[in-house]
Parts: sequence; structure tokens; C-alpha cells
Amino acid sequence: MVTGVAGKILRVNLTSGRISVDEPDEAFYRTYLGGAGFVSYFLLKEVPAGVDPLSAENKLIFAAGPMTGLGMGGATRDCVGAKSPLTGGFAKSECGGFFPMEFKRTGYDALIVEGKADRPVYIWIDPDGRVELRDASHLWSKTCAETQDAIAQEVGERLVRTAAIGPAGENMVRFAAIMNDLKDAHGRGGMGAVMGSKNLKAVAARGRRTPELADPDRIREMAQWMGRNFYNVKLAVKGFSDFGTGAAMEAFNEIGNLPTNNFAEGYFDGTERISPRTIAKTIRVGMEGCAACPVRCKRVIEFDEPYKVDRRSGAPEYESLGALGSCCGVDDMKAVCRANQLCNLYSLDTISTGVTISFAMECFENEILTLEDTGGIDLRFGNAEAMLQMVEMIARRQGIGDLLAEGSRRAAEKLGRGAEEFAIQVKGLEIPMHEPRLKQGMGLMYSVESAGADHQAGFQDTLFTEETPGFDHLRGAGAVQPVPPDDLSAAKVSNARASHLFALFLDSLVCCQFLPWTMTDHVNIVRAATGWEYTVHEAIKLGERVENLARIFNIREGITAAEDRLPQRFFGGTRRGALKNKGIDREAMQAAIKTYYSMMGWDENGRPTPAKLQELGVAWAAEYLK
Amino acid sequence: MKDSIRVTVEVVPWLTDYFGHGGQGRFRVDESVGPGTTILGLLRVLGQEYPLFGQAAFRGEELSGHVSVMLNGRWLQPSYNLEHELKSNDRITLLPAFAGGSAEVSW
Repeated sequence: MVTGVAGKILRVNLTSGRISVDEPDEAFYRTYLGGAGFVSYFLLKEVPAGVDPLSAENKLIFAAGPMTGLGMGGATRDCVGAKSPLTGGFAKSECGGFFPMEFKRTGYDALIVEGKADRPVYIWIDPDGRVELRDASHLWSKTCAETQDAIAQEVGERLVRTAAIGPAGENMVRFAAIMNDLKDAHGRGGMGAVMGSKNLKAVAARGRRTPELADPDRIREMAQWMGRNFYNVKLAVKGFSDFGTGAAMEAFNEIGNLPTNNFAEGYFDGTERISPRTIAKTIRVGMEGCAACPVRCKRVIEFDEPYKVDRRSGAPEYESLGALGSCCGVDDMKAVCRANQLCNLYSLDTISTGVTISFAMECFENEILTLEDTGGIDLRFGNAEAMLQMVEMIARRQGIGDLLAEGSRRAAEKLGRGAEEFAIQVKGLEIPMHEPRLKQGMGLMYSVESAGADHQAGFQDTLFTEETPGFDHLRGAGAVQPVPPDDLSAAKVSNARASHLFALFLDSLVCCQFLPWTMTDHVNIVRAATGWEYTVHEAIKLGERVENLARIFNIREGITAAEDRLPQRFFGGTRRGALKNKGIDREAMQAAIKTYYSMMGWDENGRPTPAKLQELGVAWAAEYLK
Repeated sequence: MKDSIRVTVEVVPWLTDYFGHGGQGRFRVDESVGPGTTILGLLRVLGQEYPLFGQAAFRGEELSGHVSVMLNGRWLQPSYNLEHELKSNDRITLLPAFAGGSAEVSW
């Protein structure tokens, strides 16, 4: 059996209570690797077309990868996937913290949750790999923090780690998250709602096994090298380590990257009041990180007035500062931090929460929503208290929160009267805090990604405008030449595709993108763990495999090329700032999308061809296109 | 300076730290430079007037990559744009380098 993996996939059927273990052969691991690779395989194979995402027929897959738990920087992440209740299509979401390593060390590579329990339960995996379904009725309605504390007491393991949902997941808010260790989120696509629909409150794990490695000395050597050098190498990530994500938020605002007032305004006067550097000077009490990672990019904050925000429940990342802050016009730092804490406690995706609230704010300002609809809440841009109230109401599906809990696309469809214009989403997934009018390769990837608008599997155009070590690195995945951010030529499409496929490989490995590992390093990690003669070529082919299987899943659900489009808003400029009057050229974007299809080996309608699937070794998937 | 050009330089937080302004708020200064001065030339002038900025912006004679530039509200990339000759009333905005979700990332 191959080294570097446990060789076991755990299945728990919540309807029957049956617990079983699959032991795939080495060829399976070589083809799908782990993480997103597993998710793309199992969703297409085992979730039939037309299934209600919130029904027992959906499956929830937690997948580690060969890198998870290796005790090196970036090596404690997992990937969770299911059919999305938000998009109706393929969804996956990666997350760090401590739970992924703990889960991997129980002796499993993945957990597939099937069916639905007849009452709330949690899954407990003990240090010997024994699996129990335990009653969670007393935990239902508790926050993620209360849940982990209670489980630690019940199982008698102080250091138990959990992947849990709070009230938002229980209430099946369509963009509910699954929280690793209280503050790291599987945010996108509503994985928490799927978990809630199964009456599954948490997965708890405490492990002590590590897979045998082909070359443990090499792994150790690489881990030590990264620990000593991460701050100073050419691909250094100083900003992450010093300030966390968003250290350049003020610069983002100047160049037009920071969404303001539902992506309409283009410049946020309050940026400095909510920026990470201001947080560092005021309420930050430290930095911390995921298991075994030297970067320690997580801000730790604490304050008592006017809200109580404790250090356990995490601090806002850049996406949260943008979505709950500038996108809602809110420049109250403590309110944004409080909102982030509530999202973590209740298990809400901060991006979709913020952008759905900003959707509602724009509807309110345009009188599509009224004070009667909001229960008397003045839901205008900039109203921090209103933003906080919306977070609570969405999590509990109270009042207007019940409508907004459906996501901006469904809410817009229900409201009508032009509300669709204000729903800033692709395929139902709300757009993250990287402005596609500036980063047009990102805009292309937002349009075509199977999961919807995902910045982490997208393309950071501003990183790749010159010959830098970063661009040199991306050539290995197929990037051809640096081009400006607003370029949509074939070179840009090639670069964006390269970045996307490489990201999908990382999501299968599963590795954090914030470590300055080169592509060659990642491949060497796979080689040292597994003993395979793994190559960059094989890694990029894996990325293609994931995207092709995900694409077929969507096509089978009736999600067509017509959904590969950005909201109308982005084809006009912003009202202010660097992108005033600078919208995306619609024809150029449509041409870029067609070029992307060709480069992926798809037909003109974005459908994978049989030849492409054969090339990728997944000819079996062609059956699902009939 | 005879026939000099007046341009406005704005510095965005936190780069203002290098101009003696504690890293907060914006800093604005009007500069007079000779005709034919490029943006790169202006940066060298500023580097001499504000030594901390000079240390951040340059590695020897070459740009360090730690500072980004906007001209009249438009971000300049690639760096050859810095050979652009300044005109009277041009507005140069200096930003800390950035990428992705962070600052000073060169991958």
C-alpha cells in the first residue's frame, strides 16, 4: 500500500447508523490524491442528479490529503464538499486550524457522511480510530465554542478538535459554514447547511497515528527549512506573518480592489478605520496560527466595549473586513469584529453573509425593501448596528433574516422589482473581496469556476504583471507571459487557467496557499510522502481532473454555460475611485470565456469532450454527460 | 527652479511612516522637478529628501518592489511605466506593494 496516506476512507450512514471503512487501492490515490480530488470523484459517482441538497440523499465529504498532518507549514488543511444548497451545483471549501491534522491522525483519509439522523448527533473518532455516533440533542442551538467545550468534557479529551456547526447550520441557512476549531471556516457553498440538514452537529477527533512516509527524513528537512526561512525567501509572505491577510487594504482601496457599498462605489473613505494595521495598533493582542505552521497569520483580538469580543472566536480576515465592512459601507472596526465573531459562533460564511447584507442594503436604499420589511431597522449602507442585527436575524432565520438566509440570488428572485441587479453572485455564490473590474483574470475565473465565484481558486492578476519569482513559479503550471490586470487576451486566459489548476492541485494535497512553497516543493513533498515519481505535469493534470469532474456534476444538474457570467454591474465602472467609468469589456470577457473552454479541451458550450476525459483517465465520467 | 514642473505626491497609509507621519492618515506634498523628469526620477528625488523612503523604495540603484505607484488615479504596471515623463499637475500616489490578500508578497 502507498505510504503517506492512511489507506482508509470512513463512511458513516446517519440513517442506518452503519459505520464502515473503504480501502481504495493505490491507483485511486494516485488518480485523485485527496482533498478536492476525492470530493470531485465521490460527488459525481455517489450523489445522483436532481437530489435536494438539504435532503438525506446528499453526501457530505470531509477529505484530507497526503500533506495533511505532516507537521510542516501549511500542512493542516482539509476539504469539505457536497452538492451546494446555495448554487445547486458542485461545492467544496478548504479550511485549516487543528481539526484536519487531528482527523488525519485518527487513521482515515476522508469521511463520507450519508443519510440523515433522526435526532441531533455528533461523530466522535477516538485516538484508536474507533467511531461512535453520540447524542447531540443537548448541543443543538449551542454555538460552535459551546459545542467544542461540551464535547471535550463528554469524551474526556481536553484537546479534542471539532468541525462543528452553530445555529445557522442547524437552521440550514444556505450559506452556513462548518467551523474548524471555532474560528476557521469551511465557508463557501453552504456546507454547514448540508451538515445541519443531516442533524449532524459536529465531527470530533483526537488522533495519534501518522501514516508511514516513504522518506521521513526529507519531510523533516523540508519542514525545518521552511520554519527557519519562510520570512526571508524570495517568495516571502511578510505581510501575512506581520499583520495577517489584508495588510495592504489601504493600497487595495486606492487601486479599486476593495468592494464598497455592494461593489457600486469604488472607494471607501473609512478603510483606514477597519484595516489590519489599525487593528494591530488597537485591539490586537497577538498572532497565532494553524497546527505546526510558522507563518502564524491569524490575528488575535480582544475587547469588552461596546461589545464583548473574546480571543477564542477569531478575528476578521481580509475577506471578512471587506464583506462585513466596506461592502456594507461600515467603518466601525469593533462592529465588524463583533460581526465576524458572531459568524464564527453561529457558523456563517462571512463573505456570503456580508454580500447578502449589502444586497439588502442596496434594496433598502432603492425602496425595494422597506422599514416594514426590515421590522423597523434602517438598513442603509454604513449602519453598523443594522449590519449586526442582520447577522443575528440571518443565523436565526428571523424576520427579514429568513429571506436573506436563502442567499442573495434567491432573495432577489423572490423580491423582484429589479432586485436581481443588486445580487452580486455567480451561480448563486456571492462574490469575494477582489474586484473583477480591476483583476479581470479573476473575473474570468469567477465566471467559469464550477463552484461559483471562488477567489482562492481564481487568479490574482496584480501578482502576475511582471517577470517576478512569482510569475516564474506559475510558468510550471502553464502561465505564458505577464500581462496587465485589465488585459483579457489569450495570454491572460492561459495565466488564469494555470493558476486555477494549480490551486485545485493544492486543494487536493491539501496545502495552504500562504506558504512560499514552490510548485517543485509541493511535488517533492508528494514524492517524499508517497514514494511516487510525482511530477508538476501530473499535479496540473490532477487539477484538470478535478475541474472536469466538477463541471460534469454541474452540467448534469442543468447548470450550463449560460451561468458562466458576471453580474451586469461589472460591465460598468464604479461611481468613484480608480475604476470610475472603467467597466469590463463584455465582448472581451465573452471571448476570454470561449478561449478558456478551448484551452480546457471543452466544446464551445463548455462541455468536456470524451477525448479530454480519456486523456485525464476519467473516461467513466462521460456517461454522466449523456 | 526655472521651467520646473509642479506635481502632487500623495502617500497612502501605512507608507506614510517612511515620510515621518507615523504610518497613519495620508501625506501630501507638492514637488517641483525639472522638465523631462520621469516618475522614476521623482522617486529618486523623494528618496533623497526622505531617506527612510529611499531605503524602502530602492535596493542600490534598482527599485526594491516594495512601493507601488499610481498616476492620476491609475495604477501603473508593469514597471516600465515609471519611465513616463511627468507633466505639470500630475498626481502621483505612492502605495505599499501588495498582492492577493496581503502586502509585500512577491509570489
